Amino acid sequence: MGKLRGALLRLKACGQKAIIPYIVAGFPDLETSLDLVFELQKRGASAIEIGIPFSDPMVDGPVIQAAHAKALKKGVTPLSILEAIKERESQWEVPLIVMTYFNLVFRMGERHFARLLKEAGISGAIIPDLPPEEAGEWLKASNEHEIDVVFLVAPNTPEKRIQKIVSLTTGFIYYLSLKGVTGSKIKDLQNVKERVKMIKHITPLPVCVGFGIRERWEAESLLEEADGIIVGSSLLKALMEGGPSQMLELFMELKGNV
Amino acid sequence: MRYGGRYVPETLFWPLVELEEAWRRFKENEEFKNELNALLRDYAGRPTPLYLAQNLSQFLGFKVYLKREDLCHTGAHKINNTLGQCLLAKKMGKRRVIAETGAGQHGVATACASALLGLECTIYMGEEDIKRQELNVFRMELLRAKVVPVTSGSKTLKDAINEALRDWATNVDDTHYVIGSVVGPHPFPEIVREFQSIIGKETKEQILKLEGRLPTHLIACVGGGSNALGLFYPFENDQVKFIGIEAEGAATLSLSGEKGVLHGFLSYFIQDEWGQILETNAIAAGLDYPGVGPDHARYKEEGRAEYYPLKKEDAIKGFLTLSRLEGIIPALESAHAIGWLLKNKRSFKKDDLVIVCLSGRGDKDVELVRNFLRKGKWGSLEGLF
Repeated sequence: MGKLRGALLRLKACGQKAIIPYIVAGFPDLETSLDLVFELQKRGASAIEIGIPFSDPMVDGPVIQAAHAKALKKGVTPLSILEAIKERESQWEVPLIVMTYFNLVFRMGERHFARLLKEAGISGAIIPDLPPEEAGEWLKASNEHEIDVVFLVAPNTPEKRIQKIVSLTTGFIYYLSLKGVTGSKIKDLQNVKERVKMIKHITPLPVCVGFGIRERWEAESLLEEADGIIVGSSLLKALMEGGPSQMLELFMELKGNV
Repeated sequence: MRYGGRYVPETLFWPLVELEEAWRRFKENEEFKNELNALLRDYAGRPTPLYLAQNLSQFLGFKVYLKREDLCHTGAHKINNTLGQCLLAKKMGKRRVIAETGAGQHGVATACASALLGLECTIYMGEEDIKRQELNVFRMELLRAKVVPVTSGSKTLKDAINEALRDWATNVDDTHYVIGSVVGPHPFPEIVREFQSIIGKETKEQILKLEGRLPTHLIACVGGGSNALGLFYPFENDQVKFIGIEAEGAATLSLSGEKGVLHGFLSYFIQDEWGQILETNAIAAGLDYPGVGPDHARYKEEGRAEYYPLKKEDAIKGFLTLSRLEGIIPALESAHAIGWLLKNKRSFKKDDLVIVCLSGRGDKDVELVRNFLRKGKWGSLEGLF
């Protein structure tokens, strides 16, 4: 079992919930973004998702798109990001997860990418545009380098397909609270909770919910069923509008008693 | 290498499976086929002529036929695909369609088909392209479509596709995405290829009737590659040479593309060493795409087709030459195929039989060409000839 899954299962075993913030490496600059990872860890994040920016982030809404574009303008590359994470390896106590788009992985080669993740001390990866059907090479590579693989389950994924997805997932199940892009509005919280409940009947894997979580009450309600929540767009929006202090404040608010 | 695939976020995966099922069902359905054929005939104006360009042939020294897709309703081959996909959307019970557009040709063709079939229509178009093609925006609005400016990334076609995919992921229950070329996740490249193959099927029948033999060469411009694939595909198993012409500023297969994954499929893309997609710079908006359809990647790998880049100046020469010799103003996209032929006429033999896909008419480009000539070093048209 990888470090990511282990950490989440330990939380689950003690009846605790996970809160996983998302930041974009290189936004507002590489050093600040990694400082933020450290600060989020200090404030009780269970794991941290680090976005490696891509020119065409298809799954992301306007906020994260803008962060990716600005980070790329600063000149960060997958390698410079992973090297910077590796340099500060002694600082990381919680599992780090990379989220990026498949072309960056494909270009480097799945094996090479997985090895670099491991060397940087990363324990999981989310590639939202890589469904299990196309992930053959990636599953081999991540297995070889002990990277926990996180697949997505969407509101319209049929139950039979969920069974297939969970059978290939080694990290946790990332349940999408909505159809659409990051940062949209969740329309039917009750339905999300019912779907999460159904997935938990299918698999003992931790199930975390992400996309569109903005308010404390949404987080609290979702965590009645989910093992964890992932928050990205709202944190980045706070970072854009009020800098690191506002972002960390919002994180504490969303976290509540988690 | 297995090109194509379905590299999409989970929200789109199942809808693509459902689309494929519906597609398999309807493409064999007689009623659907009859309905589509009637639309293509009575509404779009098919079959389009295969025209022997006598003056051009004389000028070049070998026989050149033009497949006149420029005579289709809306002035380009795009309507073949939008009628097919909008009809499919309607049969699938969708009430809304969306599409991306670069210069506006595919947007206009989607707007026409959706107006005709009573579907709500939203077109995504890069802010930069909107500035360059103001009239086409109004044209789409006349046709009841809503045009949404795309302000992300390079604000051009590739970003319009990103935005259309985001809309589709959000509204997939009642919306069909009418993708405009032989690109995107499976089964889109296959669907668009099938709807555009009418170009090649007609051509084959026509040339056999006119000349009693198959052509030696098929030439077409390639952006995403739909008019080229539509012409080539029905000749795949024949002894006929395929030549695809790319704009030098967006020459994915012939110059600068590398294997990659974007917009849901694996193919060649213009990208940096890390896989970040780069901006392209083609004079013809319809060729201004950093990728190419998976079938073309396969043709290139198998050596089935050859791909060549063409400079802007040579495309303009093609544009001017066809206008002056044949009285046909070609779309700047199609002018790339003509321009390449002019430049490479020495590599052809006297008894070669060449067919060029004239994928669209050039009315949309006259202002651009005028400005190019005014700014350019040529001074006047006469200096060229």
